[in-house]
Amino acid sequence: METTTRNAPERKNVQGLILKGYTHPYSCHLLFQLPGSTQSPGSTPTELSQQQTFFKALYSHVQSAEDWGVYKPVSMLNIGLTFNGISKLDPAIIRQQDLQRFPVTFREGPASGGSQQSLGDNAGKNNKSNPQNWWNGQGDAVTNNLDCIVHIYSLTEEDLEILIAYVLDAAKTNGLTEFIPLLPAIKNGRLYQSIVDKDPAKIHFGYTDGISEPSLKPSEGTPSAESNNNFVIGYPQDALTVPGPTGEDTASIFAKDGCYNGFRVIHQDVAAFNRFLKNPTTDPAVMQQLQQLKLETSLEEWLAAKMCGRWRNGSPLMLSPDKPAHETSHEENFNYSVTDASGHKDDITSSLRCPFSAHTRVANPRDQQMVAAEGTFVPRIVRRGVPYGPTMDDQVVVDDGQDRGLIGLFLCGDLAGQFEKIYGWMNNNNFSGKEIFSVRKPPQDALLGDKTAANSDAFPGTVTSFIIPVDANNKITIPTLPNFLVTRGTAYCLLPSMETLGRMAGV
Amino acid sequence: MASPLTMYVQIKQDAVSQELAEKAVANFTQGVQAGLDAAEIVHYATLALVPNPATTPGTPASGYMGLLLMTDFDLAMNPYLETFWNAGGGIKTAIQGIALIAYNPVPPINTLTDFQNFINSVNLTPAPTSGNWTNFYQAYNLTVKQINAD
Repeated sequence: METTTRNAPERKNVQGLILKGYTHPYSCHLLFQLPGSTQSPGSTPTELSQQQTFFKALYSHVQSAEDWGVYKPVSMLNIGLTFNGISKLDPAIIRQQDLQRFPVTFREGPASGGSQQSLGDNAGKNNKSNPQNWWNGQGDAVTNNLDCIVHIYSLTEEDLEILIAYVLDAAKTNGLTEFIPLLPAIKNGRLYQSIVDKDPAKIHFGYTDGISEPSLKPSEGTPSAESNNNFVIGYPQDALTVPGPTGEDTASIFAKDGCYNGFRVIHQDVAAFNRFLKNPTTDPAVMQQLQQLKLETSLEEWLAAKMCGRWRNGSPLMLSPDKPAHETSHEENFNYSVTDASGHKDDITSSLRCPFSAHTRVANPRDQQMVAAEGTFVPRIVRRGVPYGPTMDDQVVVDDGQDRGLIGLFLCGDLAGQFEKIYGWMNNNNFSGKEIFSVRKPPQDALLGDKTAANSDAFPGTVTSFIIPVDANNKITIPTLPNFLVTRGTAYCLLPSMETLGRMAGV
Repeated sequence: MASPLTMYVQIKQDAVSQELAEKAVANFTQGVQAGLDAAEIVHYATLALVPNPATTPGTPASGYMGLLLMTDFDLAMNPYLETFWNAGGGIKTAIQGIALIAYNPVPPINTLTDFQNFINSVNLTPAPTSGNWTNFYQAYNLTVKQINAD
């Protein structure tokens, strides 16, 4: 075990998907229960041997973050473990008494009362996202027993299937149980990546995804929410969000150079989204306001951009306010606040371009001023998600019953301080002052806010309306946004270091 | 979003610990006032000494069994414990001090993770998985900011 105090992780010891976004067009995410027990006296020697043999079989296929050179690996995988899974491992790797060193949010998991305070799946009446409905209705039976997720990537469909078959065989041979998270009728119910509109960069709803990511560069002495110190466990020196645990105990050693993954499967109701864009309100006065706008695009595209903060090609509204532009489609260099000569910060004017509740503005408000309770910096998360399910044309307004959505991998060093805090913001836009968000009736993220949870005890006063400022004196208020998303399941995993995986594999 | 925190910590019975507990209570408001005012999410906070049980019915007890912190704040518990950890003033110091005189050994509270783990380990009113509290009543669900906005 390395004991020197480097201020940045060695790439060869970090699982690849943490520090680099793969662009492999084929992937699949397999969910497993390991043999063994979390209860004293723990897993039996036979079960520990089965675990080790399984991880040994997979180890040589695990991709690190080391540069892979000119040619991408044809196929590869990464491994995440839930707290439940870690609790089953050999005490020689991690002692039972050290398990409590892991952050409570990771230990208790996303269905816990604490996490649901932010995620809001259990809030409101008859919320379809309720954890009891997760995993195609299996709920706790999966959530409470899920130990391990294997993320498999490939350049070809054939090679993907070969590696999937290899992993499934290793799992079966060694006593693992596979969980099927979706309706078994489609792709055997497994979480296969799909390609939307023949464009690997697109997600359902038609947006180009994955543009805005933290730089993940070492801090080099300057604390930044973008640096990898906030994501990879064990380098608290210049981190703003301090990943844990850190220390000399076996949990800290196990976790070092790892990263947490908020794994979240989200159904997207594309037909409802298409219907909304075509007919955003039944209020004739609001509809008239919308139709009188002098737009350079269709009303549908304009609305889609206002809800996201970027046009569907990726152009940010802050840089391309009137229409999408190829040259800004991957642009990241912009802010929302303007400081005048007297030092006064103006966050309001930018809303004429990008509404305050546009998704990308809520998820990363950049330099927008925040209330004191939010602290002094904007937390970031790394997104490695891919779509699942078949493409639905943007002209279709009637649901076809097919499941489609996002397999979200939200990577962070602090599940509470990064993933859950941002999720809380999406459900309740209350993180900036009253000049920006109504205190009495705060809005939600136009795209990702859970509309079923609005104005529940969890998010008091929140409303499902959407305000679009159009000039200095006028704004359009869409009275009610429908719910476009349903959570299909969530798991909190640790993506351990290569060294830790090696010890689990006995190599 | 209400996050009731009912933090009970049994304390050591030695004279130094007992005196520190008394001082913690005596100085609590002064220590946390500025930090909690600035955060504008805390409805109230009170720290109380829990007396030892009487050894014989009808006779006065001496000393204190533990410390009880009761508070209710807006927003989710764990993301916003960071607010208190990073707030100026005596919040962090108060919690670290309480941990030092705890009867049951508490690992050193040096990081935010340690802080979150400790608070959750002694919280008697954790958020229910269902989202529906069975042991918490509130007459209103307004946030501090919503109340102050009136």
